[in-house]
Amino acid sequence: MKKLSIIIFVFSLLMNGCSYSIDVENQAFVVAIGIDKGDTFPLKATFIFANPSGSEGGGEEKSPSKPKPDSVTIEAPTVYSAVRKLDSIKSKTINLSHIKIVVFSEEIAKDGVKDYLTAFASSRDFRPNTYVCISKGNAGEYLKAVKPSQEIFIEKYYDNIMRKVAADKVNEAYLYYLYFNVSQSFSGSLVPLVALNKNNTDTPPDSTASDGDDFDYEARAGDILRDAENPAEILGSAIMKNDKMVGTLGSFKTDLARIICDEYYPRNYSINYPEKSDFLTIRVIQQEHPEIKTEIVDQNAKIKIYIPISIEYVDAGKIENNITKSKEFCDYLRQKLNQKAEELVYDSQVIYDADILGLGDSLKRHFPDMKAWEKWNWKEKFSTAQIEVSFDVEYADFEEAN
Amino acid sequence: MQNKSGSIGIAIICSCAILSKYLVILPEYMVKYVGNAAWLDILGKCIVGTISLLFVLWLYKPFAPISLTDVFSLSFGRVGAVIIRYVYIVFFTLFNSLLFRLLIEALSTVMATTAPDEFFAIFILLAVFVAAYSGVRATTNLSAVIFPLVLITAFTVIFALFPHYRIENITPIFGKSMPRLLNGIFVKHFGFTETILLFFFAPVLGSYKNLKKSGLLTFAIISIISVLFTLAYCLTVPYPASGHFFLPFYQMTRMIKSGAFLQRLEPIVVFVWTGFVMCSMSILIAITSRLATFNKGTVNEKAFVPIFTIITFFVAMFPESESSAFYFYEKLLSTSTLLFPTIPVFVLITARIRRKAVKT
Repeated sequence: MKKLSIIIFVFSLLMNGCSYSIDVENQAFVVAIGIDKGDTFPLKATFIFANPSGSEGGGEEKSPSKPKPDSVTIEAPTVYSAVRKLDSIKSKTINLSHIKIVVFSEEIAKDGVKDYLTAFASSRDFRPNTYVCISKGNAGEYLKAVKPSQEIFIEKYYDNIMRKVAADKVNEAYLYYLYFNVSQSFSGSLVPLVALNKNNTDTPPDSTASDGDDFDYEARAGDILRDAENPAEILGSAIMKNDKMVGTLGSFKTDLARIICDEYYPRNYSINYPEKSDFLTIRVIQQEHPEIKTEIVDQNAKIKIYIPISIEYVDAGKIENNITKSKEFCDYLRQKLNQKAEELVYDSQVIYDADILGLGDSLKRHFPDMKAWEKWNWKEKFSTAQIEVSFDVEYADFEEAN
Repeated sequence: MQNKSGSIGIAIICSCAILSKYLVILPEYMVKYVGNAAWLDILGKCIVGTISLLFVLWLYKPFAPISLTDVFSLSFGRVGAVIIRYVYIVFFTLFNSLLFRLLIEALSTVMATTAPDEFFAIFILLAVFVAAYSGVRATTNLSAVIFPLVLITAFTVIFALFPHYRIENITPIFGKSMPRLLNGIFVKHFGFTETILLFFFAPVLGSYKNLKKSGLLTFAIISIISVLFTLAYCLTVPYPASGHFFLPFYQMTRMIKSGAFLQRLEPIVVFVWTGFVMCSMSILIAITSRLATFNKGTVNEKAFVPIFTIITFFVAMFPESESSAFYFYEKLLSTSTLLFPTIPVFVLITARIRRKAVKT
């Protein structure tokens, strides 16, 4: 009897639990937020909602119909104020815990995103791995224009496209990592750049390479010459100095920065090799971590970065089986990469004055504490620091070829 | 004493009581003060804590295995002992109440907006009451079940976060500054207050050897878990962002990407942590009930359990908000050395002097 009364008592407690719950069909799941400058209020937030109704009625034989994502744009002083206003428009309970992507417009990013990121990072609604990117034009328009051709649900599209640029590794495409970076007193970050394509014409945009060489291809999102239904693109990156956007970086230099920061994954590149009249296609692989040597000489930073990479021939014609020519090609590639790296360092130090390669982090170990580090002042020393990047290129199966 | 627990059991309940609050206080209390050298800070604190324990053990050796509460009477007579007992009762109740409030606030932070927080609060307190009412042995057994779960979860989190570790995050090695780090180790207390439980449970352990073994085991567990966990936190979250996160265990778990199926591991962690705090609260309510009982016997002890449970609940509701609860908790931590080792040292030295005087 005693046991039975304990069991009844315990189970009676469980009866209370479900009275507050809200069923899934009564919740509106926001999957993307676009933040632009408002006309009346400081910001204009565009919310894209998941529309799971597309899977309804689709039997095994039928393919499910593609649901049109629902969107709402609201002007408000803050994002949370916009969410509150959203409650007046939507009948369902707003749920922010499934947000996949936050897009800031260029205009907002230039003014600084720290306040937004702090609010998002300290909120339980936003996941640490929520993707963050910067839109070349209007963020809301970008989100509304996305028309995925292969995914049924819009959230899957964001997940797939962003995973490619985030490379499943740690970088500033994630909310937390961008927040960590902008919290520093002096930092630089590379945030993925998105835009709507307006170049479905035969005229190449100015920023793309004239000869088509991938190593000189410095296009940004919106610049790709193509013909596709979905106008949305993601290419290159926005350069952030602390929390403010100061410029953009083209596609190859973004890849180069990733190689230096050890956040790169193998890709194929077409290169215009002077010894061969046609293009060569190679696969660039970073098999070892970059070797970063830092020292403080006469109160100035001296940084040497050595990056061994290997290449595989995807389409290399006569070079492929010729050891001498292969060595010559590797030398040519090394020179080209070194020159590009030099340009990237110049952009970072002189043009943008932003530590986008995160070199300050490697220098901190020379100082016993933050007090000494802050006194030394990396922010001031950055532009005059001696930064040397050298690549070593070798053919992946060179030994075997011998 | 009826509740015969081994030295491992006592070590587990002491570790539970100390570590459950550690998970709440880490970023606010340590990272803000010393920066990302918090792991060195906690390492230093554990070394200082172990030295204090060894000193108290050395002082206690001639009185083993009697309970420290009996040594209070030997030193200061019945009135003095009552005063000391009530000092511990007040402090333990305050610690318990504020930890309970912080747990409820943390749960309401991590749960869905529409979740029934009040229901959870009452449910947790009810579970704590049942455990404390069942006695120290039952609480020890419960802790022995929960503790391995906590260890498994903590080590899983530490291991799963490996791709997020950046060695640069713990440089400069001495954090904000060297003097601050030293000051942090010796002045900003971690709160090893519950180490005193070892001396209250001394008769259970039977001999000085077992007591020493249990004490050293407690500090070994606390040191390993707290240092490794703080190091993992410092390696994952760079300063100054690391100073802004409430509930680091939760925040760190959120960062783990475990695939599409198990996307959200944090509810498991929060569940385990809640169990951990419940064990800690139960043991403190059980011990305060025992301290309040002068006529030995479990029936008398049990009469105090509902009283202390209700007091804990009402005191927990005093702070206006989460931040004021945290402010009081921090203030309370700064007095933690009073409970251990100051009072035991003072009591044991007096008892030794009095014993010497009686002999001569």
